[in-house]
Amino acid sequence: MMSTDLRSAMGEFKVHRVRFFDYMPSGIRALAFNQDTERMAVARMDGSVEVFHCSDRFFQEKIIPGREQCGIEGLSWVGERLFSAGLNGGITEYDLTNQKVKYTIDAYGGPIWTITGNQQGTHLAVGCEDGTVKLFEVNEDQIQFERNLDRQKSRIISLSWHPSGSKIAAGMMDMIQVFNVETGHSIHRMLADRGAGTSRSKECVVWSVVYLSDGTIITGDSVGMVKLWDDQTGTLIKSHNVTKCDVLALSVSQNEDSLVAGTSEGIVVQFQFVSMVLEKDDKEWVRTRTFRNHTHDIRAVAEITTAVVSGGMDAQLVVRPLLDKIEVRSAASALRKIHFPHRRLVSCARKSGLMLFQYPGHLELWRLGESEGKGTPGSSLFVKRNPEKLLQLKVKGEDHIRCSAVSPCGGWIVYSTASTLRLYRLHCDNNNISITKISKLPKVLSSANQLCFSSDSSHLFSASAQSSVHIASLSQSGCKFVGTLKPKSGSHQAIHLLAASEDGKWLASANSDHEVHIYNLQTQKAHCTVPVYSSAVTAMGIHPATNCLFMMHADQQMFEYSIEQKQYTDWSRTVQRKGLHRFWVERDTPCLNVMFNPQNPSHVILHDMYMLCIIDQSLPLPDDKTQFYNQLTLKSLTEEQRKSQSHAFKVCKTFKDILCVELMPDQSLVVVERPLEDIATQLPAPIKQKKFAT
Amino acid sequence: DSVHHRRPPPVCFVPSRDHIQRVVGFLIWRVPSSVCTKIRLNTFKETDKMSELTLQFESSDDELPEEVAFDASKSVALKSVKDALDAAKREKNLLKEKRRKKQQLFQEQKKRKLLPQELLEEFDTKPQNVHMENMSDFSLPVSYRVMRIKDESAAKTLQQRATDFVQSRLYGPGTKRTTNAELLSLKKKRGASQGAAVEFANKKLGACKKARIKRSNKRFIRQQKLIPF
Repeated sequence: MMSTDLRSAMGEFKVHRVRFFDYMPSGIRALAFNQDTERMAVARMDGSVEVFHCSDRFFQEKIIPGREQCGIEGLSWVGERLFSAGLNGGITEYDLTNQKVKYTIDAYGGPIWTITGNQQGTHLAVGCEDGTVKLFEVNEDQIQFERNLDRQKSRIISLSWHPSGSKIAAGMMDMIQVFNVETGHSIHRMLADRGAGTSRSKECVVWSVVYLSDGTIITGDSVGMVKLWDDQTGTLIKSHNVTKCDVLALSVSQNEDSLVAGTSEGIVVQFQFVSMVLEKDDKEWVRTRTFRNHTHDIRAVAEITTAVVSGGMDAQLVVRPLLDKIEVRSAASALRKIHFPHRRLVSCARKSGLMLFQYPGHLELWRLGESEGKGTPGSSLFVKRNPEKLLQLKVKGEDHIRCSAVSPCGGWIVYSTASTLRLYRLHCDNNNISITKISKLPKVLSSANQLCFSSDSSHLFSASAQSSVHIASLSQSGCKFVGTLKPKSGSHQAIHLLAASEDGKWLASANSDHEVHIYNLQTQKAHCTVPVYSSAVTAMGIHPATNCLFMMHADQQMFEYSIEQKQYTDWSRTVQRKGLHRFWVERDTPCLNVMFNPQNPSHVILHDMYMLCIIDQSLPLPDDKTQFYNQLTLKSLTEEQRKSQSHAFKVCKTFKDILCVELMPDQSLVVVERPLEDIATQLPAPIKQKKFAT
Repeated sequence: DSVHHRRPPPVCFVPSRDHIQRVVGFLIWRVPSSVCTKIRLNTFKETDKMSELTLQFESSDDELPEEVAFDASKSVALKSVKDALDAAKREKNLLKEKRRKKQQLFQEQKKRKLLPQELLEEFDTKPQNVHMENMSDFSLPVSYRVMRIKDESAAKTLQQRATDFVQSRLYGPGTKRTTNAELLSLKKKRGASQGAAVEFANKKLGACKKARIKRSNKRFIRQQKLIPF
């Protein structure tokens, strides 16, 4: 940990740079795009499933945490329902409203390697280890096993339905089979070549298969070839050697004119169905573009209308817009890499200098260090006492943690998994830590989507089903249920953000349907609802003095809503009228925390992954012609000039890969950084690539 | 005159003029039947490979080609083919014999391994002494399930085996993998601001390994008494 002195036109701050949160993202295993709702479902190696909203700046709308030994292998949308299958042999349906697993049924075929739904939305096919393709009928509330297709001798690694639903192509070991769905018999058996050299001794694994409506079957295999087969004759049409290692994933566009292939080397290759000679009708699949945006194996690719989305073992979701499909150059046409989750993993006990880090399987409580002396801006201060880890709390059971919080006084810790909620009392005097579990919890506190403590640590707010919030009071004697806050009307979507006011009177909740409800805690009734905005809320906070709710959205717009007057504030209206500066709106990572400075009521502190910003509401707003990043320029000016030149947005870009920023009562900032290089050193091994001049 | 036609060019490489009996491979000549050529067939006498026929072509621009009767050469060719087929048949029969003998051996070993017949018959006739309790008396608490230990471990092994399969195909032997440190160091080497390899620049990397090496060095020095004290 380092302490830096950050002094600029923004004000003087001592900064604790925290790098001891060893957050490790999990690799991406599968992608599934829903054309109608424009949502991208992402399955990770640790079993968690995330849903991104593709047209809302790829905001991570929903997260369903995973569990140990999950082994998820495939995802498939059927209408608006999401299904997954994995090596544990079961098919899982997700309840996307409440962000949890709805049910899991065993397919009784051994580990499942692939799951895919037909275009008609009536059936799901899974490919199993025992060589069977099992068909499940999708009913209104459940799926039901219908029948098996003819059992084969080797495992089924990949499946693809023909758009008509009458045939299904299966990629297996050393071969591809085409089945007639009605009879269940195999129509064709195409043998995949094992290639030359050392790969001859290993079986060729057909990792991915795509069935086009004109009868062409495209496969990607472990030899590194993308092969095109004809399903009428059962023969090979063309083969393209794409890479020396494996081609792991294929995806075809909606109108079947573009195909992308992801390889072990981390490159994505695009093939397009074009005619080689202008104005001639004979089209063929030609390799066009190569995208090198990954360093490790790409396990899944998906082609959405205007972009290619890829993800793999380097745990980043890369969205590469296809510039020939975009008409206007905007924020949507830039390359986007999503590294960190769009949820807070760090909570801070401001009054006692403690930080709680949320890992999938455990929690860590750290005490911040102390420094002494003053320094010049940008210098490192001498660290008097090192930060120390006080507590490591392991989760019982196999489920991963969904949310956690530490109370502002540092006396309570709470976390929730998909099935349980645990509350602990913490006693911390200088060198002794003791923690006791509160065993008698109110029955309603069984699982929470989001957790929040009141500012005086007397109450716990737990967001649960049907967009409601349970209130429990905390005292020496334990935890007692007080009441439930229910919205007057509206959706039942899960709440992902909670904000409590400093004076303990108000509570705001934001759910995945973009609804923000404000409740009066004294009457335990709904007070008002903020007008619904088209973009999701990524961070919100209630100002301690004015009780105004400040909201940041995924499209980088900001709103300030006065709770007591039930309307937007004048400042907020001015911002909307004037518009935000282009540089602010074009930022590609969302703001995850909104904080206020008690000593300076006109300041709002925000951060995203690459910057820290203090908005001074008393200063004029910048227009498009003003220099946006002007902190360095202001430093060189005199006091008089500074007053005329400065605008409301003071951005600091010193810190990178920021996970969380908090303001402590002693006017020091805590910046939790997780350098991407440190993550990169702990990823699985990459393929060795020979580069020129190395 | 048909005898002195130009020889058509060969499809593959012509052997040297030295009369070395070698396997030359199969020379494909499109020779019109009117042109007489001297072709000698050599079948291998050492191995019984039926597919290898050597042709050696002796050509000379000076002398007249010898006349060889077509019938004689035809019978020689047929005979050699028949010999090869016979040899293959013999080999097949030999292998068949070997396999039959092995199968017999396995049967006998299996017989030896099994318990004597009498003992098995005794088990069959012995009455079952175990009484199954009336199932309805036996009730479990709601949250409990009954599962055989056999089934549980079998299922887990299947998943583990599947994971191992994928691991070995992607990261196992035969794959060309490198370390993350090397990938990052290469990026630094070719990057805008070139710097030292990641293992040297980043102190945290391999910290435990470095500590272990340091400790073993200290131990070595102490053992060898390299530093006099």
